[in-house]
Amino acid sequence: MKILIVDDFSTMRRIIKNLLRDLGFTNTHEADDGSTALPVLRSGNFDFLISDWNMPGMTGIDLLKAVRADPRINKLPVLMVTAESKREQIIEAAQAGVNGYVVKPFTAATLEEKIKKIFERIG
Amino acid sequence: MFDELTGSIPASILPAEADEIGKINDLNEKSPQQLWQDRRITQVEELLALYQTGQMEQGEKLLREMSGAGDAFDLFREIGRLTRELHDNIHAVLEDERLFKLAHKEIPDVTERLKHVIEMTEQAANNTLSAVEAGLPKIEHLRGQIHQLQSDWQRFRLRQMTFEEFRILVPCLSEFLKSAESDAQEIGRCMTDIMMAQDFQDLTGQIIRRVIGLVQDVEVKLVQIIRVSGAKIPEIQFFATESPIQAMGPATPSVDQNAVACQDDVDDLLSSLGF
Repeated sequence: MKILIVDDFSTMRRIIKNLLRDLGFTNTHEADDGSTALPVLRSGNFDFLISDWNMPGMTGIDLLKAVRADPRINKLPVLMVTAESKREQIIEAAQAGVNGYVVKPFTAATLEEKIKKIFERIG
Repeated sequence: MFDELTGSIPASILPAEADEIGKINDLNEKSPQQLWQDRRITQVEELLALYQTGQMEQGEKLLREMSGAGDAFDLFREIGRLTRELHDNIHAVLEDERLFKLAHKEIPDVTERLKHVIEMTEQAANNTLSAVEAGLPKIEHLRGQIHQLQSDWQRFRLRQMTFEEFRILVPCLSEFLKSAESDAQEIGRCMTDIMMAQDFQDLTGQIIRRVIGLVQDVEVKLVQIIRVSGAKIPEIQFFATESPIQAMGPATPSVDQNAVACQDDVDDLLSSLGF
């Protein structure tokens, strides 16, 4: 399972990376915004994307839309992990095709639950 | 000139008119509006009389006067007064020491201070994570050794252990006690590091409190400037133009509306959308 973690704060990437390692996912990669993540995703055979929303450069929502618009990677499961918590934003992400949405601050249990749920649904 | 356009008399030019008319009318009994009307009626009557008696030149002069020359004078005087007032107010703002200090020193400073807050919190998070990453393998190591010794100890208590095995167990036990002590010391150090990393809360809290004070000062000064410029402060419409999906970071309770309170709310919202 190859996972890309996209967040502009390295500490948050580190936290997510550690949590994923505890869950048994060791093949994790990092990017600090949408514009650096997109070329990595297009060339890297990733199985899962975890992205923040609020990032300089390309935001997470734009990254999500770009992923869904690209036929090579449009099936990639995407989990949004973000402090953006307005209803309009969650609806926007849902309409853009997000697979899960976790609001910060979050717990290890929440992250695990959402990841498992996504995989169950995808099968 | 104003009354034709707006249907009313500019309040600012009324006192001068009223003074003039006061010579022929009773100032105490009539409203400025009535005085204005009286004056106009008198002027029209005079004008009619002038034209009827063939005094065309004087008639034209009066007509010009009626069509605004006198009003224009008052208007210019009023503009002059307002300009002076504005000038004084602008100078009062420009010479305000607090505002000068805010603009030249404190606002540039605050940017640095806030950057420092980000650095400190990042440092604290990294220190904590490093300590956890250093401590976890020690705990893992301890657990592994304990697991091994437990089964040996069990066999020893049940007298299932040969003397030869016991001879091997003894140095293992000594080794474990020694390494357990050093692991525990190491874990203790990690815990202390984690504890110490939390000092950012105090440090950044102080800086942020200072920034809040500064923002309040700026707010007061901005309101003063808006008052001087005479502009009306529009209601909350500023925010209406903000896109609801614009990223804006963590929601602050009591500031941000329409934000979900917790993960359960997110889940409810998503399930209502068919997720």
